[in-house]
Amino acid sequence: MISSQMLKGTLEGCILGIISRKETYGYEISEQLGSYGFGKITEGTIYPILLRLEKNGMITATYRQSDMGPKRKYYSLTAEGMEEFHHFVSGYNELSNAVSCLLQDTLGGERYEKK
Amino acid sequence: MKRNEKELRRENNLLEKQLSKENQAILTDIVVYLKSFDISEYRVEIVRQDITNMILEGERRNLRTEDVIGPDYKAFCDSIVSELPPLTRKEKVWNMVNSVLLEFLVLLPIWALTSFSSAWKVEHSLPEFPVYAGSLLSLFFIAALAQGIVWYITKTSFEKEEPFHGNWWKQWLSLTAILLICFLPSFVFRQVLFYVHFGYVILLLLLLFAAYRLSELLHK
Repeated sequence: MISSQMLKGTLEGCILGIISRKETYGYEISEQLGSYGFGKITEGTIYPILLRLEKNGMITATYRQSDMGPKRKYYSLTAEGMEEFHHFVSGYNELSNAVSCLLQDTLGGERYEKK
Repeated sequence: MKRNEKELRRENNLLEKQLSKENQAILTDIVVYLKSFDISEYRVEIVRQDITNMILEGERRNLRTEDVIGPDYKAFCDSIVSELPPLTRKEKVWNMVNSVLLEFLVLLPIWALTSFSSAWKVEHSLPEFPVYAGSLLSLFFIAALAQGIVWYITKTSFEKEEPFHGNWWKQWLSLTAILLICFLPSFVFRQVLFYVHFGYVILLLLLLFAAYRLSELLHK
């Protein structure tokens, strides 16, 4: 299970990534995150992030009728949002490489000591 | 903006009726708690619309509200509040002025009725109304108490107490005691500060009403 602290820094970028592919809504974002292995992330966790992204001009929101009955708020990415997503991707890749190298060395070291 | 706010509130009221009784109660707690923060009423209505639709869609999927927004409603609200812009100083002042005007619009007629009774039966001063030092003190205490009660109810909307159990009695006894303390000056300090003509009381009431309406119009 991914800890909430670890999720905190990456969830915003991941949500931008999901919205960058197509216009989508809260429940679908939560389902997609779940399907990628993020675990159960409720709409209640996503909604404040969406509010922040909207406030910062990264996404826009429009209400439309849904097939389920109630209206749905659909979110789409703005040009600033796309730029932010690219920043996130490069930042995350750097972090991921750094962590991978560190873990490889650390775990490699442990294996060496065990031998 | 004000007209949009009213329209949105009306739409939200209709939307809320589509929720189950249990979810309506949860939504009320959420909205009441959100109103305890320095956020504009319009923004609260926008968030209310989003949350209502969220819960409503959850109901259609047979999901409980805690599955939709998480088990900690207070934490959910706190995270929303941190993303909403706080009221500007001007808006805060407007809100305060508006609520004080509204309070005095309610309290002044009550004072006028009690003062009329004193002018008729005790002071024999009609059409002049006596203004007692104690009555003025009580009016200010009651106005402050009303603000305090609203603050307490909104801040504790998620704390459930069963009536006639636990702290419920203590709360009501404390409230009764505070109310008595608020009314006490009007019984103790019976010195007449001055007399005011009945016509001026009506004029003051009309001025307060006009000021209240004006502050509402200016907010549009």
